[in-house]
Amino acid sequence: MKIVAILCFTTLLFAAAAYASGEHPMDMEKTECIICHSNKDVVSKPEVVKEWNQSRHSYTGVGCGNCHGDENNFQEKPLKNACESCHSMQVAETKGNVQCSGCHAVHTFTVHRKMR
Amino acid sequence: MNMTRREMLKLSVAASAAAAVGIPLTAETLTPVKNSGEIDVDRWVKGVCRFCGTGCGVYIGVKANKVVAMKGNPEAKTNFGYLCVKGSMIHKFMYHPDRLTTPLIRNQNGKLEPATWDKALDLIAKKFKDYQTRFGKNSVAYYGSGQCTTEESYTFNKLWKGGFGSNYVEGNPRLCMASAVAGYLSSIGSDEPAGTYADFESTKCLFITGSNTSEAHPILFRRIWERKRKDPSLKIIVCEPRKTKTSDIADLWLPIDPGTDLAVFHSIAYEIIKNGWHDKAYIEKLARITDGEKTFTLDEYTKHLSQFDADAVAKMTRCPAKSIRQAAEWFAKSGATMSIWCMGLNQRSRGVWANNLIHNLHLITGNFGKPGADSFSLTGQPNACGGVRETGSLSHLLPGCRLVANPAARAQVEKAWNIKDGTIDPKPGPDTVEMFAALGAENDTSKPIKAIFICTTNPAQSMPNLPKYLPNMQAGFLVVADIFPTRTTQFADVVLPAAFLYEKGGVYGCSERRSQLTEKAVNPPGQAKPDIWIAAQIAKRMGHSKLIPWNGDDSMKANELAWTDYIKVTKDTEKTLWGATYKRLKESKEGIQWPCPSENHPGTYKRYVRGMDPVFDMPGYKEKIPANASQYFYVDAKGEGKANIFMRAYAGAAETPNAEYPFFLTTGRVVEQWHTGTMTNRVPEIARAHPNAYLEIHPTDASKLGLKQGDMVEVTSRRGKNTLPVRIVEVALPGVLFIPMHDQKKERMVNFICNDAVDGASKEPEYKIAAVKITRIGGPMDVAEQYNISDVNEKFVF
Repeated sequence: MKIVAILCFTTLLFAAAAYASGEHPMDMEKTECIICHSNKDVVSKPEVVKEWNQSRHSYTGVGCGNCHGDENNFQEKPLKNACESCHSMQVAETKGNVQCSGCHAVHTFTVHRKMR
Repeated sequence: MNMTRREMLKLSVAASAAAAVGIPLTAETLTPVKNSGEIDVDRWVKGVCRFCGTGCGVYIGVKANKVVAMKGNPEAKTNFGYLCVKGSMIHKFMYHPDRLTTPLIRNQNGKLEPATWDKALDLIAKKFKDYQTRFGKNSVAYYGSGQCTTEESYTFNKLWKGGFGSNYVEGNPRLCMASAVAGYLSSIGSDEPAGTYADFESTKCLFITGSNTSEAHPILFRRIWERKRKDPSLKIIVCEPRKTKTSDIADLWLPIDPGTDLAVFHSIAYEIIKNGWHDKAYIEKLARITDGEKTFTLDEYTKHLSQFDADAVAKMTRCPAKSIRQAAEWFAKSGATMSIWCMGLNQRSRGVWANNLIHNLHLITGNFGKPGADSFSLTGQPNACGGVRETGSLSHLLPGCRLVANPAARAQVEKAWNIKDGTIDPKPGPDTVEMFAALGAENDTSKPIKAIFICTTNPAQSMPNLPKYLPNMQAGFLVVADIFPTRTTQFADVVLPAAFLYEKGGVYGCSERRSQLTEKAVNPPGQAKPDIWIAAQIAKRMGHSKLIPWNGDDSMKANELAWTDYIKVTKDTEKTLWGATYKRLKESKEGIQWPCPSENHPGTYKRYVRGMDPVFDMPGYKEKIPANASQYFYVDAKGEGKANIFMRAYAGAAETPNAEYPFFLTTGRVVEQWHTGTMTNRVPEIARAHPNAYLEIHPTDASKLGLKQGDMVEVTSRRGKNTLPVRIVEVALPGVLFIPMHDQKKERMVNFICNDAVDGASKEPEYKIAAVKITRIGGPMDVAEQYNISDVNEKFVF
């Protein structure tokens, strides 16, 4: 049991370190993102997949890789530039260091926080 | 650079292949664009998205003379700054190491080897002249694309029809939009919609059929969704055999077996008239009921429709009678109903009839010519409308969508082109399916077409019933201009490296009659050249430089000359773009919608309506329009200002399931991939979502066949087969299967299965419906590796 706990702890540490460095913590290979990210044993917030499924992004085909990139350009927390290609006007109106996620609930996206 | 072993191997293979054909590769070309945190560019260049027919306005981000980013143009009236997953990542494949950057000629050993442009163009001209001398002017054909610019399609069309005197000009819009063209021509009298996307904002009932808008036109779907969110009273009806994400926002889903929708449309019409919801005054004033020859009364039409009683139709189609009745009521009583459709109606052996029946619903209810009320065909490709339909780059058309069979139209075009009377052949050329059936080797007397120039399209993957046409492509002399190796370049005798849209500029015309100009943003890589330059160089070498004088190296200058020539030829037609000068298109951030007869005209929101449509005041039209007519179909061939309500019979698919082939198979797009996947499959971030094709099957059918998720199956039609994994999902109806069309792997290319039966009028093939059987061949296998053709000399063994 101790060994399992140590392994889990080590994995989490590794994941945290990798995320912090802007890299996905493991080789993404051919696995679809939502397969691991729906599994509570693998990730800490499996609900994000459910949220995304109900979002306008899901309905217009904006998947994980569009904002988070892939192994070559992974971003755990996408910045404004990830939004700008598709939402250029809204990003242009976002001044300074304010990031889109400051106002819009990530993964649901459908509405502005203030409108909820 | 963090690279997995798999990616390293792929890049190594690509590098070897490129090196083998003399393509210089640097670390810069091999390194994907990094996500830097902020978009950092030297300049943003105005343009249009390269993908679907929506016509999204974009800005192309350039840094150090390379395209490094994309963003939406907020002032564009099509997308208001929004882009979809494909459009936002165009820059990610432009510098892929597989780009073709040097001309290639197939040598005596069957290998493609690098050549100079002069050598390649001289060979093409020599071969074409030789074939034309020995086998006649029609032995050399052109096959273009709804993805060429308008200037390019116009130039090739002019060279063939005005230079060679040959109507052997076709394009892939024959495979996607021809039924919509024939539908508009027969029902309304003129191709392309009366309304525009702006009708989405004022419609009160939206009827979506034959379109998975959510995936095929995601930015329009966003617009529809936004309208529904702001105004939940908007009724959305979706009629589809698959319950896709498009249906998820619908108030009413009309499920149907593939090919049976004609009965549903007739039934809706019957319910409308039976309940007195039709607009009798509109029908009397602006429509005639006809079978194409005779005219009929409303009573006779109603009697014809009575065979499509909702209860009877429910049994034929699997669409509940109650739903048909509800749809009829909403359609007729909303106050403003708009219909949109796409390939689900067009790619059918009765595609024209299906189009006619949608127009019928609008004409009997008067849902035409007012805000929010329109019968609107969505276009699949970015420039099928502007580049092919409007320039008349099909075998039966001339610029302005005039018919080659019409002597007056030929005379008008000959005069404008300043060529001898009688140069244009009065006989229409073959349609696409006939053209590829007639292509063959020099010594094959049964095949009159010996050579074909294929531009910006991939028929060796996109033609239906591939087993029938691939040997012909292999046997004929093929010249292929493209940006990547494809299934078609595998058969080519000469491969020409083409410039990408943002490396040459040009005009695209989208679904809503809007022409928008893309500026040249960067130079093409290596020796790649714009297609307009290629066309003009061939013209020069074949003695037609007077006809095509725009043969200089400056692509934007050549584009402007070609565009100016084009708008002169179509100046007096109802599709006039005379006021859309190149200068104006360059300055405009939203483009211009035809008809636009003068430089001070803003472009047209709604056709056939006085006060909105400038054609009412154009010479040649105004004389025949009554002064008191507020709405008038001035394109009516009978000169009565009326549209046609077609009394069509019912016909199902050319092939329906039986004991041997018990399932319907349909095919289509997924949001991440474009057509045959040659561009989008090279963008890892989006391709990973749908790298390979699969068979979508309903759990009920899977259970009966003992299939489990991921099992490998063989799907067989009367023409060919696929081997691919199953995805068990509740999307399509039981008995209806789906395979996406983008996969380039031979075993998963759905067009080996699809039917090449064509519509009798439009000659568009029935991609959407085939009868198939399934055999389980094993458990799950690893087939997720996305497949691209990287080595130009890889053989296509079929």
